[in-house]
Amino acid sequence: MIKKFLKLDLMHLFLVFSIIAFAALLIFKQNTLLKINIVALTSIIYLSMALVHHYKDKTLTLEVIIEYVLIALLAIVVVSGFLI
Amino acid sequence: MKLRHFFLPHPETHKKAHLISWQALFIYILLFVILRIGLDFYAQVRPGVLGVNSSINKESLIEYTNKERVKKGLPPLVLNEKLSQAAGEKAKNMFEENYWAHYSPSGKNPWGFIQSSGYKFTFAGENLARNFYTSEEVVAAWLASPSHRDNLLNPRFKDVGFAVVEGVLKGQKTTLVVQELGTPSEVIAALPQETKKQATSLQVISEASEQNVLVSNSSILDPYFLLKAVGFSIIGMLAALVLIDLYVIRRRAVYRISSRHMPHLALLSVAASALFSMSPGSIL
Repeated sequence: MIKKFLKLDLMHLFLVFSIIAFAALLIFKQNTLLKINIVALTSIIYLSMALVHHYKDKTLTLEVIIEYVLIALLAIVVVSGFLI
Repeated sequence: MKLRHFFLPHPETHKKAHLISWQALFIYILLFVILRIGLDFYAQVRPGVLGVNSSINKESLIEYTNKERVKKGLPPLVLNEKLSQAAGEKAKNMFEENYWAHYSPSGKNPWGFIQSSGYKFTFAGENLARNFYTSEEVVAAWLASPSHRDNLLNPRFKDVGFAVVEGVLKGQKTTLVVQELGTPSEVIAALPQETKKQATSLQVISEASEQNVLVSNSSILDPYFLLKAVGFSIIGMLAALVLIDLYVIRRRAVYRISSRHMPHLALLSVAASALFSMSPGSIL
């Protein structure tokens, strides 16, 4: 089972997580803090899956890591601007 | 350095366009953080210039509130002038003492304002809102919060008063909405014994009215609109450049060790979707 999981393309799996995040944003559209938390959680999942994917793929370079970290950070920073 | 290298992958090395390089991403984050801090700083230096322009009014607030109550089979609330006066005084006090809470720093509580207005109550409740654009948004936000919803749909409350007051709170032009809900003391005598017992164990809450004080007429810049616009611009530009990069690299049929396009686009879409539904409004 673990082997099967490791064979999965985690980046495709992330797209499924994104759809779940969209649904959660729609459900909790009135709650600003929760929406920020949803984006933060999605960013963490994105980063984790990306790192595992590139590690398995043997393409994990410093530049790749920095790119993922910065895009995740950007997503969080942009939405957390609404925290009063 | 050619201009097209800012938008397209390098023709020989196939490196990403400059505008989606990690250095550029770092600059976007830095600029956004500086903008956010700058707006806060500006609000302190020039109070009242930044703020939200609202189109909230008492009539639509009571309309939306009663609509929800009727849906639940509850009697509509009756607008009470005394409670409205209490709500107005409460809002005025919030601006004067510069606080966003049910209790003032000097120790004033919500029901003190109601008592001062001459409204004799058995139960009273208070809902607060600020920085919403419309009355519908205010009522929707209250309904989404269990504690505010309990106040709004409490069958014990008979009267309501609203205050929609503009002023400067913590440096920003703010529209405060105060809703005071109440049950007049004479009503309790008419309640069945069981209900009366429950009622006396409740904490005091209040009603509302509408009043305008401290209205700022200076030109207003909505900081939240600005943050949204800048956020959308950055996300939109990045998404477009990532798509271009994906197209060009596929067309060239080259292999490049780099981050993947689709997850970037998915995360940016989630962030854009959250940003789209963001509202500066908050309730208490």
